[in-house]
Amino acid sequence: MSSTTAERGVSSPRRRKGADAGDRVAYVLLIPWAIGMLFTLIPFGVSLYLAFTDYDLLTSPAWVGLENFAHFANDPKAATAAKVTLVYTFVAVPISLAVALGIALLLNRGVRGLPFYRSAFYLPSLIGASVAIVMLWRSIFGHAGVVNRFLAFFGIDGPGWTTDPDWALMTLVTLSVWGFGASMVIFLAGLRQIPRMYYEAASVDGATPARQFFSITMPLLSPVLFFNLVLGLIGSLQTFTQAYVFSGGTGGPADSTLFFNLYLYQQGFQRFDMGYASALAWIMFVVIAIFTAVNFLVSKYWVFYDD
Amino acid sequence: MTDLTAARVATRTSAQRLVSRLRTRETYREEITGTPGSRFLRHVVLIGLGLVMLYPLIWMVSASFKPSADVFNDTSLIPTQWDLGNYAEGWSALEFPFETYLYNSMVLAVLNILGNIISCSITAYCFARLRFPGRKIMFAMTLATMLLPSHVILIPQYIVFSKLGWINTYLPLTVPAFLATNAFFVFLLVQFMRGLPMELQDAARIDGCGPIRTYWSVILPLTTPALATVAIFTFIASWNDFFGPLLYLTDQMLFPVPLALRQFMSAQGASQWGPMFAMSIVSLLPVVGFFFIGQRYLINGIATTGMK
Amino acid sequence: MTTYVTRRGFITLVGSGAAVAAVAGCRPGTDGTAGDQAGGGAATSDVELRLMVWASAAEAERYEEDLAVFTDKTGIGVKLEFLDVGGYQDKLNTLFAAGDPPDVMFQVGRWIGEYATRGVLAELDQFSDVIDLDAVDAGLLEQATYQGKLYGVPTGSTTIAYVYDRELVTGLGLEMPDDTTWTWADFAAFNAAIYEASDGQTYGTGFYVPWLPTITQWARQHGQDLFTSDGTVGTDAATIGEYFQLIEDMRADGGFAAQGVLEDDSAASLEQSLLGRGVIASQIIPANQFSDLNSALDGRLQLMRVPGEVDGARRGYTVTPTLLWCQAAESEHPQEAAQLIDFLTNDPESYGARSIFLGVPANAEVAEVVAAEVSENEQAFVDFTLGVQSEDLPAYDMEPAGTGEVQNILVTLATEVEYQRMTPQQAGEEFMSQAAAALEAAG
Repeated sequence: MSSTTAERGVSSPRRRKGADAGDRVAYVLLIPWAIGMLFTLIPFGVSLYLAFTDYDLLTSPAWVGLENFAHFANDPKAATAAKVTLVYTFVAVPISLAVALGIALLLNRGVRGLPFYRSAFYLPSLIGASVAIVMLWRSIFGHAGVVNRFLAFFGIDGPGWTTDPDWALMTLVTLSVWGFGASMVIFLAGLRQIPRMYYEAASVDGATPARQFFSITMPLLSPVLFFNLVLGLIGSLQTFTQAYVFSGGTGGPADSTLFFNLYLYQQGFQRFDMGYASALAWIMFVVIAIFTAVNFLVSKYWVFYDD
Repeated sequence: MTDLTAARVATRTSAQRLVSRLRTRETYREEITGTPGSRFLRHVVLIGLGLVMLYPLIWMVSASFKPSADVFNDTSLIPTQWDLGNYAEGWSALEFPFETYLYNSMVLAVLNILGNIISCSITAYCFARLRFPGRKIMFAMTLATMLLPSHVILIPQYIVFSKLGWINTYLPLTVPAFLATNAFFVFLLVQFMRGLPMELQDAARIDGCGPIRTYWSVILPLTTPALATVAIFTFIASWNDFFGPLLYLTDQMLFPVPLALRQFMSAQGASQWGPMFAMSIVSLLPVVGFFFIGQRYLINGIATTGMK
Repeated sequence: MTTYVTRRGFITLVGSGAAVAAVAGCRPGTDGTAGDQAGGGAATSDVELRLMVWASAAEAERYEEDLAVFTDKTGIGVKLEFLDVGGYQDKLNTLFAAGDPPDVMFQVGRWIGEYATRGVLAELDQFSDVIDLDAVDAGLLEQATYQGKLYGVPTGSTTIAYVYDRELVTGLGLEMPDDTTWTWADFAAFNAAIYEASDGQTYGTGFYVPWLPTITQWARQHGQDLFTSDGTVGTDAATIGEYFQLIEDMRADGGFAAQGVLEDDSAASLEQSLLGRGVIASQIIPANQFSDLNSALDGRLQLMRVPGEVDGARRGYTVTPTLLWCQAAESEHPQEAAQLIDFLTNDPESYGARSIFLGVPANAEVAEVVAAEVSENEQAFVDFTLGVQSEDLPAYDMEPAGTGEVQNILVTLATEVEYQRMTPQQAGEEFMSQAAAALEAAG
């Protein structure tokens, strides 16, 4: 694949413009990428094929055309799962990003003990979804956990954060905001990369801090903000591990944390319907692709690239 | 925007001079801003938040010093009864001493970091800084690989690796990192590289640098904070990865920490909670340590690396 | 739910295309290999079987010890692949899909239907000259038999039981009831009395309401089966509704733990469980867990039979396989694998280290030998299980494909009832329609 495109690259009119002379070297540099793509595309192709089959993991797949997609249209549980996922995404992503950006800006202003704070805020993201973390959640959000004991001080009888279908999803949102450290670190790295001299030049020109924020920080940070937004959306729409650990794989209580990704996992691995699971995955692929594409289109109006 | 242009005009000299000026900015960096009152308020907010964020670690450390029976009974964060035996017991409770699993995890993490840093930065450089036909579609393909839920490709992927004879080796867990298969990091680095002033590249070109020299001597040093981010994220992801090793490894001798930690758990009988928490703490130390070291580069990124 | 056309007609022969080859092409010839080695009965030393189980490191060590005896006796090596139960089925299914399953593995009774219908498990009847099942209880084997064929051998047997914190109950000035005659009404009254006597400090009981074995027993006491022998729903909306109603009634007077109190307790240490902390006075458990639980709680517990056995339409109790040893149909060493299963079933020495950890040995003669060596707590479990097993109980079939999904449906409905989003009667009706659809889709 890379060799044919490489030949085209040589005769590219762009080269003759002079400015980009020698960029065909990209095709050589991208050889590992191309091999990696192959590793990825084969499984992709297979799963796309499986979406049109009846495949139970244990026997060979059989072609069923659009049946899996027809099933999706009449599957109330899939609709529930889609709703859970969208609600979660539209609540969790903006809150997480706002918190992460806010804290990153605060830390970037120069604070004594910065490494300590940064590490402390990042810690929840380090721990992973181990067995220990499940126990931890219970000690915090359990019926007699820290949160409810705290509320009891004020005479409030706290709900079952993890057992009540009306609260479970909000508890998951809280947990996701708690993990804002990852995006915070990216914001911080982005802020650090803005050349100081821009601010100095602006100060010389007499620009206020607010003006500096909107005319230097935001434009120069916008690629990073965009990155966090795109990744936050993708990650959140694909939520799996948290939901799996939280409900022990059931999506409970009463399907209130039945994320789309969890549902398709159940279909594929627990109900032996990998054909349907693949169809669900490709439906999800298209939806996420649309979200991402819209994001990229809109980004033209607010993301600033220096090229 | 005018401020920006003014600043940029000032830098339109040679890459060398620009970079050296970028390096000097660090001298201003650690200056503390704000009035004493606002600084105090800032600390109050940060410490309050820090406590909330640190609670899990404190809880786990505390649990690791409690006897198994007390882990959930004893609700105080300071154990009423200290049990140092969890560490000794946990270290030797499994088939191999715990350092075996730590070593395995370390090998996987180091290989993944190397792989991701090298392959993703080269790939990102091509997408962000070079112009060639097919660039956009190739970048789009890379992004697209992030969008499909991973569960449906597990089995085809397993079959591919199985056909290559890679089962029960580290190859399925490390080789993909060297092939820029992590679209997340490629995207991250593309975003950072596109954020660098384009004048750098123009200046380098004027100085007679080809694309590879430019990558090596201009782009790479300036991307250090982002590369540190990649390294930290890779370390965490690799260190915590459970499902990959679960599928691909069968020999205890090859198991990384997350698989080992599960072996304290019993489905039918009594689980060893105390030792499990103790070893969880032990296994957290490298991650926390790596983050502490890594974040220095996040801060000092440009200041410490620089160019020749 | 939906009219998802089932796929019987579509299964097997594959078309063309590279993608198919990737999935289907790697599956080794299934049928040919099984017969190949049947002739050479003598064990060859270069055979190494793969045995996959879920286990903690401590448990695995005991299994390894017993397997070493097998290798000593037969010269057949066994590689034990163990992992925790959470990832077990994911890995097993992946291995099956890739055509690389272990030779022998753990299975749970209710999974068997799913695997057996797809032909990936060996029919063990064909190894009747290797695996001796004469001394194994027929009722247990029945639960490993799917559509007339045997797919697994029980690792041991167990049943369900209540455990009461005897010391807590007697400390409240109450008397332990006679568990051989008690009715559900007695049960409810007793649990309410505990709540009252403890001034609301301790709920009488609290157990996992949607647990399938409990509901199976309930349905049997009502003269029904949860599943019929041809794999459809065998109970009715009223019976299921009454079960949920009983729980809600008990909840109202403190006999059953209040809304939200029962969390997933499975991950807590035994001492730290709700029972261990005295939040609840009793719980329902698989009887084989009694020993661990009682020793963790300093012998405070007493095993009690499930109520309603005397005044119901018929007996509801079942003794079931704890787990099953199954063999992959694709095993390259079917004879040796069968030998291993025989060893694990019939050789008392194979229980040297694991003892009764996986249930009372299915072979009655072996059970006697093994049980002579166990601790007092373990003896209580063995006696309890064998006592129930010796009684005249109605037959119990293997659970059909789709049982796993029925369990999930019950979990959801139990939550709906607990949080008053559904009445017990509505839940009963919902159960009938949802379970029927799930079994239909799986069948």
